[in-house]
Amino acid sequence: MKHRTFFWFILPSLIAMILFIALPVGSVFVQSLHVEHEQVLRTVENCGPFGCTEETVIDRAATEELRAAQPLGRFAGLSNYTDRNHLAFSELGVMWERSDSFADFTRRAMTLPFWRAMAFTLTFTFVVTPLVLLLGLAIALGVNALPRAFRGPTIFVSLLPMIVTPLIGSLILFWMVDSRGVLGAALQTLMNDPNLSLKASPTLTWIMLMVYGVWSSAPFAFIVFYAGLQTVPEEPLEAAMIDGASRWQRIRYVVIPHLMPLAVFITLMQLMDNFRVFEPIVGFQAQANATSLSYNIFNYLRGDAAQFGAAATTSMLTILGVVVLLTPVLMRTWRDFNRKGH
Amino acid sequence: MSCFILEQAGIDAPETLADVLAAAETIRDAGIMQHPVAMVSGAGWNLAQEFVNLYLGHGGSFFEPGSAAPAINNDAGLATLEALKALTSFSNPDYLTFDSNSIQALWEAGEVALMLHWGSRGAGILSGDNAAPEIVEATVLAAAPTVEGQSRPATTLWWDGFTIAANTSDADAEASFLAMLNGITPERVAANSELAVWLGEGYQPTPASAGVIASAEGGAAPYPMTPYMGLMHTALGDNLAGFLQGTASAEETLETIEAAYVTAARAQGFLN
Repeated sequence: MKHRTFFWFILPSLIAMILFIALPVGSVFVQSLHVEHEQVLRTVENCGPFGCTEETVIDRAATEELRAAQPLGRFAGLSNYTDRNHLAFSELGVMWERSDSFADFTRRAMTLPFWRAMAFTLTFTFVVTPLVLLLGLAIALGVNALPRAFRGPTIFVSLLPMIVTPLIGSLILFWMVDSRGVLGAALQTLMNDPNLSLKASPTLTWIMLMVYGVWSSAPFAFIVFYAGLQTVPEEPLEAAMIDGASRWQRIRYVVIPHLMPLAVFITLMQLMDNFRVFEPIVGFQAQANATSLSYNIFNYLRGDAAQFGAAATTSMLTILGVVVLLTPVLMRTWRDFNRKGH
Repeated sequence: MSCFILEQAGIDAPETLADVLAAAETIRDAGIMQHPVAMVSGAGWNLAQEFVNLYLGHGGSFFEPGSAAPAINNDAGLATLEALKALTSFSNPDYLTFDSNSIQALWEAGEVALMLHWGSRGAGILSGDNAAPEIVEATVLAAAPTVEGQSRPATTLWWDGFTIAANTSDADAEASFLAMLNGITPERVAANSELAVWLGEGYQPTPASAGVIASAEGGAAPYPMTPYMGLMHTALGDNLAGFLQGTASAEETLETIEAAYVTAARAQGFLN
């Protein structure tokens, strides 16, 4: 394609990408370099229904003047990135000195919001992604082996977890695993432990969130793999059968290599999706035991004082994390693409 | 509190924090209930609010006088953490997920005997819409408990009022003010006594507001209205659960909360 033609061809998407991706990301980056203005405080006498007290209030007029002079806030360089809410190098240094063992250091580091969120986010991503691939492939192979008449209904039922809105899906499970819910009560009876609570133990909460993650994402992998299975050519399969390959060997040496590009696609999507894990933490009210980067952003923005600088910084670090995660997969794809003949 | 269960266990209505804990212990030891206490203790904002209530009940103040510097790392802070731990040890193990709706449901299901709850929920419980008549009959609303050696109940008062924006035209402001005054005439207040606790003429306290009125008369403090209190509340909410789960000591927890607050207060321009 000529460069000129290519340019006109790509222009509409380019404009859309600049407007809806580059500009917002750029503005979030600029925000992450700033902190709020110094608040001008003064003391007033405040009388309410329960008596009068001396109270500190924000001098709105004076603060407004500062705001008008510098609408973005005070420039803070990278201080938002290095402060306690994010990379927290100096806090980690102090903790390292104070700890008597690596386990003690980890325990202390888990009070730092960014590292605490990172620990859960990465564990979630690296546990859920491979399980979704495996389970999705297993369901796809299973459904593909069914007689035709049963496939439609089975596909429909298998897709349901993906159709349920994540927040609602996690809320339903949250009630089911409650100690008075059907799953929670059943577990207590099975384990013979009336104090067993899936919501109280950090380990069980992590497992519950990951099980939820696999449950809600497996249908996506399933439907992509199932579509891919429809395109597996008959000849190599028949040839493999004549060569005496078992069902497992046919899957391992014919079907899986054929589905590899789809597996790469699902891995990319799942790495991105799982790194942004958010809804189950809110739905399961799991913030005592597990937080994620997206949950932190949400946490900075609600409450009566929205912390835009901290939220912007966490957003930038999330983007950076996604880039780091996806790079190996993308590099692999790029090498394959080049090898295939250009 | 549930007067039936207190009678069954042979205890008087608790008035102090120590009474509440002793009552919970008696109920548990008598085998009446394994988890007799419930409070709005879900990790995050709710748990922080319980800390605020108990900390003020312990006579603590959150900031250095006249400054935004935090001041919770002290004896009152430590005592508050211990009180939270003691209370939650009598709660259902799911307590870190409890919000105001879930503990109201626990109460209406008759699964708890002592509850530290928002006064605004009294009317809902006493209406009997969701609870069996015997639960409603057993429900007694009382002032929040006081801490030994302190006088004011360990709770905060939340109240609503009117505001009129400064840039409203005089005519609009006058019309709005008249309309709002019309909404709180003594007759209207008297006719709607059960809907809210009115801070005005004509209000007749109802059983549903007995606890709130008793707390207010006991000298409970309004929720601190300093501009940086929200940041303190968030810092509390994010860091209290670790202590209750035993992953951090009380001193470490208070230190962590102050560090989290200072970071936020710096970024918001309250501290340098």
